Amino acid sequence: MKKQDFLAIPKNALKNETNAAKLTFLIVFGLCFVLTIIMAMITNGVTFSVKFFGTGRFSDTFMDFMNSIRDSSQVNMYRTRWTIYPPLAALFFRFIGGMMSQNSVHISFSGRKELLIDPIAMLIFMLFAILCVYLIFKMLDYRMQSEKKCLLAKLCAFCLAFSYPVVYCLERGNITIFCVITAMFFVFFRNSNNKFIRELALIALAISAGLKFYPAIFGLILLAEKKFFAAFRCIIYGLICFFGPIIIINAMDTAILSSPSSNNEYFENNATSISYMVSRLIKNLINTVKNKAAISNYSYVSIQQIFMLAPIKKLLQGYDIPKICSLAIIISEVIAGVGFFITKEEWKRVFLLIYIILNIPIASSVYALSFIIIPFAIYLYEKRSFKSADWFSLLLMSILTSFIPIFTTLDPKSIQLLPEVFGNTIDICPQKLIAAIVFQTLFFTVMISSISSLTEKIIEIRKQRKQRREV
Amino acid sequence: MSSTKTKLPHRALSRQKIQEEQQDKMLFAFIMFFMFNLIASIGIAIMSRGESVTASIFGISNGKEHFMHMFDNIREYNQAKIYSYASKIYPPLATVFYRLYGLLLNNELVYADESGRYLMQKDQRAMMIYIFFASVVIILLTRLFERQIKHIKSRTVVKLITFSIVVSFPILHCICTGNIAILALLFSLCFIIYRKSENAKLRELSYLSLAVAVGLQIYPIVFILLLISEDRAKFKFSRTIIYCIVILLVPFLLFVLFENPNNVGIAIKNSLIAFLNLFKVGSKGLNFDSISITNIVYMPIVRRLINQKMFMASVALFSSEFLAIVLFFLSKSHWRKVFLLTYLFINIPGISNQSILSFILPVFVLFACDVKNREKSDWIFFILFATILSPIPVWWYFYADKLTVWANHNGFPFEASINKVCGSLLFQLMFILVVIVEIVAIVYRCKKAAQNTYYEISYINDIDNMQNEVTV
Repeated sequence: MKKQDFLAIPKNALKNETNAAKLTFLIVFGLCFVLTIIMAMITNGVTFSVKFFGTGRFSDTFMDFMNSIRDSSQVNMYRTRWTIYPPLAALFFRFIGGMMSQNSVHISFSGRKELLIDPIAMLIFMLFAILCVYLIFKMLDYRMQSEKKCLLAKLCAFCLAFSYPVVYCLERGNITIFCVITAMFFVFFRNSNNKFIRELALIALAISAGLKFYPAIFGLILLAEKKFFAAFRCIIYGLICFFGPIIIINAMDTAILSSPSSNNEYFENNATSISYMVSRLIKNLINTVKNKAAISNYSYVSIQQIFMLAPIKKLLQGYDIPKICSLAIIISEVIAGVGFFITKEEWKRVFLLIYIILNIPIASSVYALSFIIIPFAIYLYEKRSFKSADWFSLLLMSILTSFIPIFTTLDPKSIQLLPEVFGNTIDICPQKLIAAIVFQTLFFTVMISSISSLTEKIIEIRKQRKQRREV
Repeated sequence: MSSTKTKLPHRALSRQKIQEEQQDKMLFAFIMFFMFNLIASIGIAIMSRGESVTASIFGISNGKEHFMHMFDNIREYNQAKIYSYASKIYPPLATVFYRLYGLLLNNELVYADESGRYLMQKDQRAMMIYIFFASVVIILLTRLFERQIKHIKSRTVVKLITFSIVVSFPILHCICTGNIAILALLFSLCFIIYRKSENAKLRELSYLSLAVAVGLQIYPIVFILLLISEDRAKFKFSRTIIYCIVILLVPFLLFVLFENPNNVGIAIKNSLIAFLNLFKVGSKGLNFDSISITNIVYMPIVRRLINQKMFMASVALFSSEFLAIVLFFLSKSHWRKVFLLTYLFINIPGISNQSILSFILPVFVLFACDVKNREKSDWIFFILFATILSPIPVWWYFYADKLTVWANHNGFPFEASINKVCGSLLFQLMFILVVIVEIVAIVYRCKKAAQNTYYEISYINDIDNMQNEVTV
């Protein structure tokens, strides 16, 4: 048997459509990345920094991680800090805070950036970031090379592990990246031949939901596949991941408050009871949803971002735009839900679930687009015949994951990119400006192709029935 | 040609089985020891609110030095005309790396003075690029180590061993201090693994990898000696040397010619002086960060026995280096050859530090995979590897004050990290054991060769006698 040359790109790569798709993605990603680095070198890294959180607020790097540690280490955090972290995430951050000095953990809001020079905080974050990237790469590589070892698949896995949304997520230090990893594990390994791995996949989904709530929607895959008992087990694991940590945190808070040196203000209000903590968490979530309903900058991908575009705003002058946004969100969510049940292609199903998550304003940050690497990986390794809609989807997903270069050497605060389209925003990162447009376009492409596939199937079934009747 | 498998004789089979059982026990013991130490270290980190970790890696009084090796080098390597005026070795490819890194940062950070040393720790781009660099290196190292130990049957054991390697103390030290040695390790490992590959492209890549490693840190050049015992050694050796020369000289000459063309001679002279200074034995006393044999003469009990410490240290250094190079050429064991080459540069006082000890990892992997030559005495090596690589919990951190007073009273600095305290001793002990094993192996080979020659001679004599008898 001829040994496969590992370094060779398949000779007939363009004839094999899956390999052609991988090659196309690699070319787009590679080109964008190289140009980004060149422009970054010319501008001393400025055009790289503006890709992330805010223009000019460069020093907020990793602060989601550090702020979470500060907030979760407080007693009765749902009351004192109005946090919305699910209990599992809070416990995770509290555990990390346990390895840091008291001064660092209880530092004031104004002094929070001192955590960036705290050696333990940065060492832990560094190891956390490396572990996350490694796990993403490992899982993507394993899945993409499920049939044949191929350099293209390895390179795709590598590029996706270092894609823009993943890097952005790490730059924020947001725990969403860990949700992506656990959700990915569930999606890739839920049908494994190994019983133990299958069970681990269910636990992974429960952990993902325990960290951020919304990945619980991936459980619909189990329902669609009629694995009701597995779904039931997953719900049990999810409840354990919610109530288990809350009991532990409650116990820790009680122990701290009952010590002689503590401040008993919250103890008197019975503030450490589990029911109080749960009710406070729900209250905080509702308040956050209300506050995030009106978003006014280009760092989100929800459908309501479309209504921020200058031409659309002009068109809808005189109408109640917030109400139209809410209606648009509801309608698109319903369409996505229906689309999930009618489509048969796995990558489209997973994408539609991610769309349901990311279309909700509270969860629609650009860095949450790191979830897109899951359906993209499935898309790249699934063997099928490619239609024109599939190639268009490939292009859109490549744009969402690549580092689009910024061609300017001017001070970013002094310029505006296409104000006639994007209004007066000082954000010049193309990714952030067009993320919502590309994401929503991808959604419509997927829906249209799903509906057309369904229509084709219905027509074919009718034809077959007619033929049988004639026979 | 018949394709039937030849069955091994029963004795050989049982020996193979015994060796495999030994191997499994050793790997299991290594994993258990490592995991125990890791969990205990995390426990002590929680109890000490993280201070045991920073004390272990950076020392008790150097709290905020995380990643500073990288950031300090960015500032240093971006100075103009470093080759013309400095008396330190600046590997050319490392200069390219740091200058490219510096291009992505603000000039006020790159050209900051001592007071602005810590600004990069708070800088978004500096930290993001470092995370990217560390992630890529760790991913590639993990892939290479996994590829090397794939011969082990159990997938779980492979994963656990790979995890242990990547979370070993030397690697953690490299990442936490920001030492570029980890990048040189990556390329050196490529060379060690792929130089005998059946794929011609991979073999060529491996020679290029060694050249890149040499361009980054110079000392991996010693691994080129591994090519000597291979087929077409001259051809491979000369190709690799050419790659090394190109990768070393081209950036070096470009930097010197562009920055100060009149001082090419001075630049070369400075680099040579800096190279010789690496072998200079220091008189600063005990330095727990160093793994060199010269450090041992300053250890508490030893230094009281020796009067002329610097002289004895120099003697120990040069004799150990000489012994290592001689035994390399005489050794038949692959992992011991690689160890002796690694010893050659880790032992140099100017280079020796905890981060460079990460080069012991390829040696460990080769040793762990050498099932066919497994002996009971290999348990000692396994214990030494396990102790050097595991992050040993700093249980004495809670008695740091008392121990500091005791140490200062006895004239040496207190070191919190047990890994650092034991590192140089265990590494030198490993060298001594390898020397003993090699000498025994050489004696045994000589004896066997002599016996074979005796039998041949006596066999020839017997035939001669028989022929003579027949003639008569």
